[in-house]
Amino acid sequence: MFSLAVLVCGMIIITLESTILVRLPPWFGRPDLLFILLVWLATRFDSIREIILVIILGLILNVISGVNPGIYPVAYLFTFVMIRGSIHHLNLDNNHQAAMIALAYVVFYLIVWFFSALTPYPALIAWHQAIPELVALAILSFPIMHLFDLILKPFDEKDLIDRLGRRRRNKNRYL
Amino acid sequence: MRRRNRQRRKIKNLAVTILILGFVALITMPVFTRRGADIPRKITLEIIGVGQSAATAVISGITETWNDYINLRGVRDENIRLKRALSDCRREIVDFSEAAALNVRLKKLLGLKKRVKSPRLTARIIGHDPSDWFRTIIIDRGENDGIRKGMPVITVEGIVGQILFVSSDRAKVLMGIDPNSAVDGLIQHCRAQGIIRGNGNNYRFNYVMKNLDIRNGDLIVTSGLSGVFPKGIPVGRVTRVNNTPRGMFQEVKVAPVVNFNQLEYVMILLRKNPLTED
Repeated sequence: MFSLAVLVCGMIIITLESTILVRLPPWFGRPDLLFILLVWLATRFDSIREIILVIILGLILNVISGVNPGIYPVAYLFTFVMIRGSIHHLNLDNNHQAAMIALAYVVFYLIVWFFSALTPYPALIAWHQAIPELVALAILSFPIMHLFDLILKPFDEKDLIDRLGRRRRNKNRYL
Repeated sequence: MRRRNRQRRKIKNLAVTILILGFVALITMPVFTRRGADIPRKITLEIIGVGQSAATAVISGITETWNDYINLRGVRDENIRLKRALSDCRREIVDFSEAAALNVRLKKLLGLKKRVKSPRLTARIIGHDPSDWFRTIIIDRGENDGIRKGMPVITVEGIVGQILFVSSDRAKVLMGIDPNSAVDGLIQHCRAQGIIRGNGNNYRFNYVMKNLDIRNGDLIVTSGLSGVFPKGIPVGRVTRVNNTPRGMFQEVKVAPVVNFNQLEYVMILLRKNPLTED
């Protein structure tokens, strides 16, 4: 159920990004909401299920965007691993979230650039356009990740079991 | 100590799984692009296409209402201006019909073949590439409308691109300004041939010999050599010519005749055998 909710959410985000957000002027910074979803998955969960979800989200994005098949799933996978690794080793908390997202986006940019350089299909890497995007991502990451917490976390089975258990215990602790 | 070892083992297992999944993804990706094996991609494009059509319809509705309101202001002045323009156009039409009649007579004299026009299909743009790295668009026509991979996409102004991927009712178009796009072109006045490559927001006209006289403002049209685009469709105008001391070729920068930022509708030339590789 959680996986399905994440995939539906991802598809809605891709639709919004490809229709409404692309109309925003470049200087305004078009925030990559799908990337925030990826970071949300990487920071909140730690299992194979999320890795598979990230690959599927990359495949879905590849249908709408890009020329070379496989660039997004691979870039998303490596970025996910990088974020998981940094959380594990650097002990980052919510105060460092914005900085971490901005850094992860730079790494994501580098991964796309590197993999597209390996394929016969070059990508347009424009660092000057990435700066407003980075700022928009850093600003929006906090409210949007909270929104994901509100919308998607209730679908997580583990979270549901935890909450049910907690509620049952709270009613009568002698039972 | 034991806890740390367990943690390390966990990280190692996770890293190995990720690596395996990554390689599986890399290896299986080309399979998805083969004909017959791209059904999941087609279904995904259809599902997202429905959402994109709805979102585009809402945005267009709002924009049109706003534009109608804006256009109401200054209608009188515009009316006078348009009436003047109409009378000028009528005068020009008389001149052009004379020229056309002369052209027909001369063609008959020369015995030239009549050019057969490909049937055209109008499509609405329902989505743009959300990333900055590629220049693709999604249109609301697909296989059911007779669209096939490789068909040329144009507007009245000039070339837009080529069909890259088709599902039953939607299609993805690779725009001419994408670096992965290349079109055979020639400069209209001096007939110098070359390859027009996308550069993100404009074109580069490659492989033009140094001895050819190219000036700013020259119009570049398709040469029709590749067989994808018919001959004579405008591509862009030369904005800069750079003659470097080394090498055989000139560096020519070209501005597209089509405003890619304001595209709403495109035309697809329904050619029976689009010459593209699969």
